[in-house]
Amino acid sequence: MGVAAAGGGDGADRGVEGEAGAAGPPGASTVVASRGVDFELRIENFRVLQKARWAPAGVCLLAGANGSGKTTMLDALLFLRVLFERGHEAAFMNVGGRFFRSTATPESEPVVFELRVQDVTWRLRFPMGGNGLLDSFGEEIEGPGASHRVGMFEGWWMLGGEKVRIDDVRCYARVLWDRGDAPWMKPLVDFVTSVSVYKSYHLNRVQRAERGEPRQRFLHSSGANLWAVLANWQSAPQRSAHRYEWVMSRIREAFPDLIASIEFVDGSPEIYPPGAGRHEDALPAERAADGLLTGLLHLTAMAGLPPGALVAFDELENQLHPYAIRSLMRAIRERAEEHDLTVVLTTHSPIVMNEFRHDLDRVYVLDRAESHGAFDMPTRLIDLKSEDALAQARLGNLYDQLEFARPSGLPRA
Amino acid sequence: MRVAFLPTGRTEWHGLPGAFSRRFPGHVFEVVPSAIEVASHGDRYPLDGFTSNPLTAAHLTRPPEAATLLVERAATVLMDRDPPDLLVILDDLELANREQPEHVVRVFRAAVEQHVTDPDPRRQRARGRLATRASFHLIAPMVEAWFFADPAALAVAGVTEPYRLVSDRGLEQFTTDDPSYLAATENDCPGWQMRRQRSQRPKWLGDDRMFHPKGYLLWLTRDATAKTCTRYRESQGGAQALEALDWDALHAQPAMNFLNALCEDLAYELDAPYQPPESVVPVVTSLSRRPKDHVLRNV
Repeated sequence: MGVAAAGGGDGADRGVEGEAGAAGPPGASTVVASRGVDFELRIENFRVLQKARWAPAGVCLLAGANGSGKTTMLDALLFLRVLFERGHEAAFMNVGGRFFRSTATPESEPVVFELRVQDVTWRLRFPMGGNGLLDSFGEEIEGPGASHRVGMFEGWWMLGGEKVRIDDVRCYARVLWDRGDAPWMKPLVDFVTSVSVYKSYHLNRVQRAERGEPRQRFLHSSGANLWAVLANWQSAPQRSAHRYEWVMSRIREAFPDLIASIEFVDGSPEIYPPGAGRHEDALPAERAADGLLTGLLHLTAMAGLPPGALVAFDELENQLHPYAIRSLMRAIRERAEEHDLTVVLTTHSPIVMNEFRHDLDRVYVLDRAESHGAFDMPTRLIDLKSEDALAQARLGNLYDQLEFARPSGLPRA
Repeated sequence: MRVAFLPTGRTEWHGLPGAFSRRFPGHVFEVVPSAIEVASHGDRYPLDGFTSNPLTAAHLTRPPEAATLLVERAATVLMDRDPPDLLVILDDLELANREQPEHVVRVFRAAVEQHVTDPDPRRQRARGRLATRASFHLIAPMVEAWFFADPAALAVAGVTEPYRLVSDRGLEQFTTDDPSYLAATENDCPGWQMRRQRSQRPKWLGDDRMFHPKGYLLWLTRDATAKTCTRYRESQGGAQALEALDWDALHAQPAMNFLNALCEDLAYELDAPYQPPESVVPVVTSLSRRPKDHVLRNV
């Protein structure tokens, strides 16, 4: 997976709201990410996450009470991608610049992000006060035989023996990568530009079937370009690697009574239910069930991912019937397996949780009451409770029974 | 030693640890689920029982969900890292099944069998723990019957007026011949009549009221203006009555067979002295009748 492919060089911006993604460095080739990307994310003092360290793999569940930091964890991933692709200002804007720092820590402690992908580590330190950045922040990149440390807003950097003026909004990692002489950064770049986060779709825009720009290949984080993406895939099955057919087959399984096919008339979708033989029987997007649209959005997001990517869905279950949830979960697992994807799901749904009965080692919990101050959040559920005990009941029931991920204000049993 | 009860009633959930701490001093008695969980589920019982409706042969192949959930909860507790030494699953032998305790036990055994023969090997591993550390016992027909052994406990529960029982039948065959109770009608509860909410219909209006100790207790503590027609509260007066219950008076009642099976089991596990009353006989939950292929300690 090269940066151009990952970022959507055709104008799409997968899983990120805003402008187009990164352009590839000179000479970068399209390479599929290695199977099971080895990465670890470390966070200090970012919103509610005072100390977090996480290395998810495969299809994972992130559980926690309201306000425990699930969405914040996803925002950290999003922040790093946007920072790399579009610079610090866009990154701050994307995650909402205010309330960036954990209010529980003194101003002397910076907000820190550290992303290690294989043997490349990218570290960012932001000294934050109540009104924003206190000082220039630091950026470090370490790789095999290389170590770079710079301060942002310093006016110039030293790249090797060359003095470079800072004349744009790019972060140091991006400047270094764009120069094309740091190929060792590739695992990091491939990974960070593969991150997609879907937190809440703009269903009203999907229902209005807004005309997007042509040649949309990947789903925006808002989902607003759903129809443009699907229409594009439908018209180019070879180029799109049968993504459209996969989405349609899985959406039929999830909503067998609601959808048989979609036709695009002048770019506008018409949804044909099973048995519908006449044009008059087709439904416009605005008449489609919210759950059906949500299912289409999830599947389109999954189908648009390049191999080796990381995608996160915040509360995937919203608007969905239990049958549809289970069906979509099967599809997500299937796609993740086939394309070596890392999928992070946050949820409060017992139905989603029950789907992890045989993957207890992939369930992570953000529970401040269980945290011991070190970088032990999110905690693997099987490190909190015996796996044999967890297997005796449905995970959703155990969550309902407050056996894990309980609100931190509650007293212990 | 640590003993955990997994009861199906709010009164038991509140009152059993205190009651059994007096009965078997020196040991720790707990309840499952946690107080936080119970508080967060509003008016739901700690866990639902499965004997409220008649159990049929079909339940042997498909046990009631409530039984399955009891087994799951028991297995979860026992497979955790710090399990109790003994877990007692305690359900009522309600009137709908009072003539078939053997079948009730068979159904519960079937629920256990289904759990430990699950294809998931982690569930299979619970077999040994369940068979050695968990017991299943019945309260016949429900814990309120015990209060009638001890006038002081009844007073704690809120009973102030005289009561009448058919004394030679014993409390596990609870029977009252109180003529005013047996003749009660909806007109005795204008508070309920105003709303006629089905779930709050006074239990003393049932056809089987003469055998229903809780119905009689609710009648004896009736408050015609209250929407539930009673001032009895399971988690308050009921729990306090259970905690304060006179064990000697209870054991002195004739033919307390299911209670005896429970106490014998506890005494055996806790290595505590216990002399069964002469009037009792072994029942389906007694350790002495444990089958060779037992799935829990006693059944």
